[in-house]
Amino acid sequence: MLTVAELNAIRDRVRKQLSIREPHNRLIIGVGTVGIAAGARDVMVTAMQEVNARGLDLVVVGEDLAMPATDMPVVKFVSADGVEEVFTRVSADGVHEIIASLAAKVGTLPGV
Amino acid sequence: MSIIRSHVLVCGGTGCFSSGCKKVQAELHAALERHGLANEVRVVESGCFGFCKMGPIVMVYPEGAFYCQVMPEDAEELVKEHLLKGRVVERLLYKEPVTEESVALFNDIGFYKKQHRVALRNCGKINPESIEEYIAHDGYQALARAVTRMTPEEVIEEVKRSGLRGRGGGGFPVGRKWEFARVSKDSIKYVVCNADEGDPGAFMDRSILEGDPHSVIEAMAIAGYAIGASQGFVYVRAEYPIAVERLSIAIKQARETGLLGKNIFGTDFSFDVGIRLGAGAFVCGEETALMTSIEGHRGTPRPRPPYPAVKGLWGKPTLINNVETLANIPVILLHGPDHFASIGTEGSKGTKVFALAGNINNTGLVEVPMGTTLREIVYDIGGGIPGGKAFKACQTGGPSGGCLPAELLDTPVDYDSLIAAGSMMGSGGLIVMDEDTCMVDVARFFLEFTQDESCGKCVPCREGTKRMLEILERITKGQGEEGDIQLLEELAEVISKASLCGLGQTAPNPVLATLRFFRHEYEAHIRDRRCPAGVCQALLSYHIVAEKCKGCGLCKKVCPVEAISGELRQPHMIDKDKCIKCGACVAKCPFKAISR
Repeated sequence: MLTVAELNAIRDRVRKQLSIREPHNRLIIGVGTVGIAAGARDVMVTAMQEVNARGLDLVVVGEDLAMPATDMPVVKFVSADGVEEVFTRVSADGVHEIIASLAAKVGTLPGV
Repeated sequence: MSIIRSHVLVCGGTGCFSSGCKKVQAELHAALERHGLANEVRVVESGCFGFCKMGPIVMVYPEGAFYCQVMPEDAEELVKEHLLKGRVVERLLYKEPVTEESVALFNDIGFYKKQHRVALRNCGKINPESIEEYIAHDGYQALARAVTRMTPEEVIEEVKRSGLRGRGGGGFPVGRKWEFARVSKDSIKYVVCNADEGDPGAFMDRSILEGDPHSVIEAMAIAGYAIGASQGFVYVRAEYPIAVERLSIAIKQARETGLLGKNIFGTDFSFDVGIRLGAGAFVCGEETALMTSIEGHRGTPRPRPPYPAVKGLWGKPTLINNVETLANIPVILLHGPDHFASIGTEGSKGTKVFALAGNINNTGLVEVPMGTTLREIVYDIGGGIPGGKAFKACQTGGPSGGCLPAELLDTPVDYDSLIAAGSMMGSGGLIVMDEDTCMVDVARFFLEFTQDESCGKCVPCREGTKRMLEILERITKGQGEEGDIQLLEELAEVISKASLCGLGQTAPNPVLATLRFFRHEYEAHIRDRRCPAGVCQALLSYHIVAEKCKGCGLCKKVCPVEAISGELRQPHMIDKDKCIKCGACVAKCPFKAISR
């Protein structure tokens, strides 16, 4: 027998997994050819791990950002209401700090 | 540990399945492995997106990029460019038919912009074989609310207040139907979901079962609680194998989770659902024939009253609703009846799903608020008529409905307006016809269908439709006689009044509707031996317009019976005795010099 509380728990747990399909806040990593050459894949993987560990309402997206090669890897934050922040020459370590700075803005997913 | 950053939804509806979506999925998996992304990207098989002409459809999240007609060989590029390098693959995006502009996002596509998806809310959005994904989209919350916090009477009151009317064709108020079943006194009652979708071209119920089967199961359980039933049946045609499979999986999951079975949510309410397969007879969509079929007999209708709510399946009170009707129920209980009633018109609340087909650019399933005009559906959502041809008519309501002409394009689509205009809502088939359509031939087509599907139990339908079809066949063969139109009208009246079930009673509708709006076409066939649309082969007479003919000889070359003669650069001639009216010359002539 399933209780209503258990039903709600399933809903919240799976919603977290499905937040990718209805993103509110996005952390865009510039993963075009130049970005990847500059280490964007490592930045992206680190960002995914950090966001997941914190349970943030933030979706990591790979995009070919049109930015000068010298600025790569680039990370762009876009909030649910469209406010943007751009971070340049981001390292895998640096992305931890960026996410930490955004944590309060984006909040956590339900059930976290 | 794998952390997923992207979901790639591949439509697994019947249309996309036929276009090869399984191979696309397999190639996507292989390409993800090759590029080391298998632990970051999840491929999910979804239900139908409704845009079947554009299948196989692939949707990439979180961007929401909507890719059309994706072939297995496109998988490598999609993975390498989009999923690895973040570049949208332009060539696979949808192009608007008029502007030819590429559109990347689902919600920006003209086909979807004006849609309001309530019954189809989860189709194309979730994995229909995952009860957890349904639950994540508030699935089974309406059932939880109903059985733990509401009385059956309160549930019925909310359904009544919503104004929901049956989507299967009749348009009867759903809450009242539930109330009739509730007040019938019996210890055993049944809930039946009518998934015997029979209108030619209609597939909205199939799509809901394929894309969101739990919504139907949840609604059936709510209905069971409301009327006091503990058993439900879904009657679905065996020719819907994907729908049957996904429904079976969904029922099994609901049982395992405790959402079907005994003491649901720890209450006294118990409910289970079984599946009964139909053989695909059109008449079994009629509720009494459907029940007879479930009971194990040949599916033929029986007189009403008594109505199923009083004496239905095995003589017990039975509530019958169709798939689309049921798919609306959880939304009503979850968001409130007033929210639902705020959509649509005064007499027709909510939305309606249509299967848009025929001579139209965007074919597929569309769900619009009641009151949307036919013009908006045909031009804004459907993208207009291909080849710049003129709109001639649209058939609503399937074989039981009628054809509405261009003058009525601004008719709001709701139950009452369509009837006032001379057609009906029906289950939602909407076939668009262009200027090259012969309306007598259309009436003949639909009558041929209903005649073929007549169960034969009552004389007016069995014999009457046969006679009407014979007359229509004569007319389209150029053998129509004075008095045929009057005879058709007389027969139609008798069949409508004296047939046993809805199939027979509405069978003459396509003839009556085309007579009402296109009587001149019948008269041209009978009196002038002419088919104005140039469709009825027996009435065609091909000839070459000498002023337009350049004597290129292409028609002569393509003619399979050597009926065309003429010297090069001189006007050609057609020998009417030899001509078999195949139309090959018309299709080939670059100067439009051949008329018929």
